[in-house]
Amino acid sequence: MIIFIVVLVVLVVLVGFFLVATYNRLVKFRERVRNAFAQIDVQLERRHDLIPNLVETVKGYMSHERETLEAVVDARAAATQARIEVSGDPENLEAMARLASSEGALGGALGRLLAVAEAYPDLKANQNMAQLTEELTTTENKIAFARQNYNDQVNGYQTYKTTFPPVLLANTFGFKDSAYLDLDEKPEKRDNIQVSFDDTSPQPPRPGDLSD
Amino acid sequence: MDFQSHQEEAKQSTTKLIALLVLGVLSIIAVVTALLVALLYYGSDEFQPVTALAVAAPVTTIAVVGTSLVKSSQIKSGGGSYVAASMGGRQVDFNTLDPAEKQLANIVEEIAIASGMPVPAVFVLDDEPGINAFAAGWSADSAAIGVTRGALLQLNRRELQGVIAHEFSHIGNGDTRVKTRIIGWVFGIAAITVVGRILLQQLWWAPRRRSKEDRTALLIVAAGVGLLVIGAVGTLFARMIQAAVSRQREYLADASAVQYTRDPSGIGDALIKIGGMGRDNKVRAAHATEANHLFFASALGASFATHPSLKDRIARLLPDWDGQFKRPAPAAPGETPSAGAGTSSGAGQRGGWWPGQVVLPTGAQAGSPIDTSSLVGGGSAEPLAQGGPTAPSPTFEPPSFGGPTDAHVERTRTLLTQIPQQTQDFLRTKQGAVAAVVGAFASNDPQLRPQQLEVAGRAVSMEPDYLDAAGTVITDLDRTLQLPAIDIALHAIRQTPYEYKVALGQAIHDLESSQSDHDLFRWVLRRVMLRHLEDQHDDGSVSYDTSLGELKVEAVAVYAILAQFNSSGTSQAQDAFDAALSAIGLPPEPVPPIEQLTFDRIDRALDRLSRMDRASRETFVSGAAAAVLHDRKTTAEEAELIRVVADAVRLPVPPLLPVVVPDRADPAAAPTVKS
Repeated sequence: MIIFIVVLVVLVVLVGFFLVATYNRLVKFRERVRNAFAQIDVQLERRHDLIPNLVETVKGYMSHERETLEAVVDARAAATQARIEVSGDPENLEAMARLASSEGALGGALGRLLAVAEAYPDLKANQNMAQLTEELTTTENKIAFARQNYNDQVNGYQTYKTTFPPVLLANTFGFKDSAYLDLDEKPEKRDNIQVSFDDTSPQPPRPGDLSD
Repeated sequence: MDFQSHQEEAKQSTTKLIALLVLGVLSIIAVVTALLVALLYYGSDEFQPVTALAVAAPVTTIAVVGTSLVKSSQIKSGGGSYVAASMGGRQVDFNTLDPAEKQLANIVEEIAIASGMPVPAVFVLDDEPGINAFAAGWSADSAAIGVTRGALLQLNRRELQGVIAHEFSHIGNGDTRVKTRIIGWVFGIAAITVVGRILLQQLWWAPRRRSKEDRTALLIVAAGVGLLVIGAVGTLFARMIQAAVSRQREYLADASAVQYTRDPSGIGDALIKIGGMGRDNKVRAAHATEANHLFFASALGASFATHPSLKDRIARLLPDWDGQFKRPAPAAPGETPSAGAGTSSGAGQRGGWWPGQVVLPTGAQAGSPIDTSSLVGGGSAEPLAQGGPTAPSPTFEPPSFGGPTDAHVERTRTLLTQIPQQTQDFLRTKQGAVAAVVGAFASNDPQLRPQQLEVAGRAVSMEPDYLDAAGTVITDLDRTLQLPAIDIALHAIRQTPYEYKVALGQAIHDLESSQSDHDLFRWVLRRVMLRHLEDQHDDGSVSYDTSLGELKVEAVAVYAILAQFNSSGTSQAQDAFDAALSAIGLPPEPVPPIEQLTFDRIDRALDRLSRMDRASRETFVSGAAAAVLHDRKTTAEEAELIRVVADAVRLPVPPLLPVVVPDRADPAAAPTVKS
C-alpha cells in the first residue's frame, strides 16, 4: 500500500514537472514567434513611412502616371490599416491574412511604380529618388529576411504544438495557431496581362530585387 | 550540392583537421619529452628514467600549451574594431550621407536580420583599390567587418550583399575563434624551434670550456639540434593544417552566405570580378600578411595558404559558370557600381576616384554667367537688399565667445533654411563638396578661370566644366550663406580619404597663389578652408602661448585692412581703425595706407595670431569686430567676415545676431536679413 502511494506521488510529481516544462516550452516558442513578427512589423512601418516621400518625389516627374501613383497610395492606406488591426499579434489569423494580402498588393504596386520610373531619366538622376530607392530596396530586403526568420519560428512553434504530448496542453491552455506570412502578390489580384507583341514596357521586378 | 550539405561537409573536415592538429601537438610534446628524458638520463647520473620523465613531461607540456594560450589571449584581447583600425579602417557612421556607405550600412543591417546576429561595427579601408573584405573579433558582440573601397566601388548591391554575408558567416560560425586558437598552437610549436636556436647560440658564444665539460656541451648541442628539427617539422605541418582549416572555413562561409541571402549568384559574381582583377587585387596594408586568413579573398598574390582557389569556390557556388573571369571596368557607363545611388555614371569625370558623378542641383550649369556682384565684393560692398534698395541695413551685436545660445542656434537654423535643400544635398556628397569648393574658389577672371579649373580638375580628377558648374552652387548663394554652405561642404570633405584631402588642399593652394582679384572675404575663406584641411593631420604639436602684447604689429595690420575694406572714405577708415585699437586698449594712430598691406603680409599675420592664447585671440577678434561694426551700418556680409577672421585665428564664433533697431526697421522685415 505504502509502495503504491509512493509510486503514485512520484508519478504525480513527474507529470507535474512534465506539464510545467511543456507549458514553458510552448510559451518560449510563442514568444519567439511574436518577437520575430515584431521584427517584420518594424520594417513594414518603415516601408509605409517611406511611401509618402516617394510619391512626393515622383509626382513632379510622372504627371501622366496618376493611376500607378494612386494605386500605391491606396495600397499603402489599406496596408497601414491592416497593420494596425494586427497590432503585433500574429495569432490573429484573420487580420494576418488581410495584412499578407494588402502588403502583397502594396509590394506589387510599388514594383510597378519603380518599373515605370525607370522610363524617366530625370527622375532616375534625382538624388532624392536614388536615396529613396536605396531605402526602399533595403527595407524590402529586411522584410524578406525578417519574414524568413518569422516563418522559421512559426514552423518551430506549430510543429511543437501539434506533436503528441504538447498538443493536449496547447489547446487546454489556449495556445492559438500562428499564421505563416506570405507577402507575395496574390495572382488573382493582378491585372489581366494584355498580350501584345509590340509592347516594350519593362517587366515589373520581383520584390526584393528592386535595385538591379 | 545545396548549401546545407556544403556546410555539413566543411564542418566535418574542420573537425577532422582540428583533431589532427591536436594529435600533432600531443605527439610533438611526446617526442620532445622523450628527447629531454634521454638527454637527462645520459647527461647526468642523478636521473633515473622515471625521475627524468617526471621532470621533462610537465616542463614540455607547460611550455608548449602555455605559449599557445598566451598568444591566443593576446590576439583575443584586441577586439574586432582594434584589428580593423590597425589595418587602416575608418569606421562607417550608420547615418552617413554618402550613398555608397549608406548602402553598405543598409546591407549590413539586412544580413544582421537574415543571420540573427547583432550588427557589427563596419569599417572601410579607404586606401585599398582591390575588392576585398574581412571580419574580425572574438565574438559576435565585439565583431567588426571591413570592406575595401574597391569593393564599394566595383561591386553592385547584390554582389556586395554576398560578400557581407560571407563575412557574417565567419563571425557566426566562430571562425575567428577557431583561427585564433590555431594561431596559438602554431605559435606554441614554433616556440620549440626558438628554444633550440637559443640553446645553440648560447653554446656558440660561450667561452671555451675545459674538457671536463665537453660532455655537457655535446648534450646541449644534441638538445638544440633536436628541438630545432622537431620544431621546424612540427611548424611546417601545423601551418599546412592551419591553411587547410582556413580553406574549409572559406567554403563554409561561402555556403552560409548563400543560406543567408538565398542567392548564390551575388557572392559568385563577386568572386568572378575578383578573378578578373587578377594580381591587382592585393591588399596594401602593412598588416595584411598577418591578417591574410581574415580576408574574403586571399589578400596576398600567392594563393597557396589560406584560401581555396577562386575557381573552386565559384564552381561550388555557380555550377553553370563558364570559367571566364570578368574584369570590372572601373566606373564605366553601364556597369552600375554599388555606389550607383545618387550618381549618374558617364560624362564629366576622369580618373578612378569617383564612382560616378553627383548630379548638380538645378540651376547650376557650366558656362552660366557668374554673378560677379556677389563675389567681387571689396571696399564698396552694397548693403544687402532687404525689402528694397533703400531699406536700412541691420547692425549686429559683437561676436560672443561663450558658446552658442538658443538665439545663435535659431539664427543658424534661419541661415540654413535659406540654403535650398537641393544645394545642401549636393554639398553633403563628397564629390559635390570637393567640386563646389574648388569651383567657388577659382578666379572670376575670364582668362584665368579656365586655366585654374583645368589644373585643379586634374588634381581632384574632375572635369573643369563640372567644377565650373559646381562652383556656382556656392557662389550663387547670398554671401551670408556662403560660410554656412562651406561648413556643410567641409563636413563631407572631412569624410574623404587622406590623399583626396591632400590633393584638394594643393588645388586650393594653387588657386590662391595664381589669383589676381583681391577680395578679402574670399581670400580669408580660402585660408580657413586650407587650415581645416591641414588640421585633419594636426599632430598636436602646435602650442598656443604667445599673447596679443607680442603681436601688436600683426593685429594692427589686420585691423587696418578690415577698416579699409569696410569704409568708403579715409576718415571713416581712420575711425574704424581707431575703434579697433581702442577695443584692445591701444592709443589711436594713423591708419597705414592700403598699399602697404599685401595679402602675403596678412597671411603671415593671421598665422602668427592664430597661435596666441585663447584670451588674446578673443581680444583680437573683439578688435576686429569693433573695426567692422564701427559704422553702425554693418551688412550681413561684413558680419560673416568677422566670423571668417575669427575662424582664421582658430576661434570659431557662432553667427552674429542682428540688433533690432526699432526706429529704423520696418515691421515686416525686422531682424532677419533676407528670406
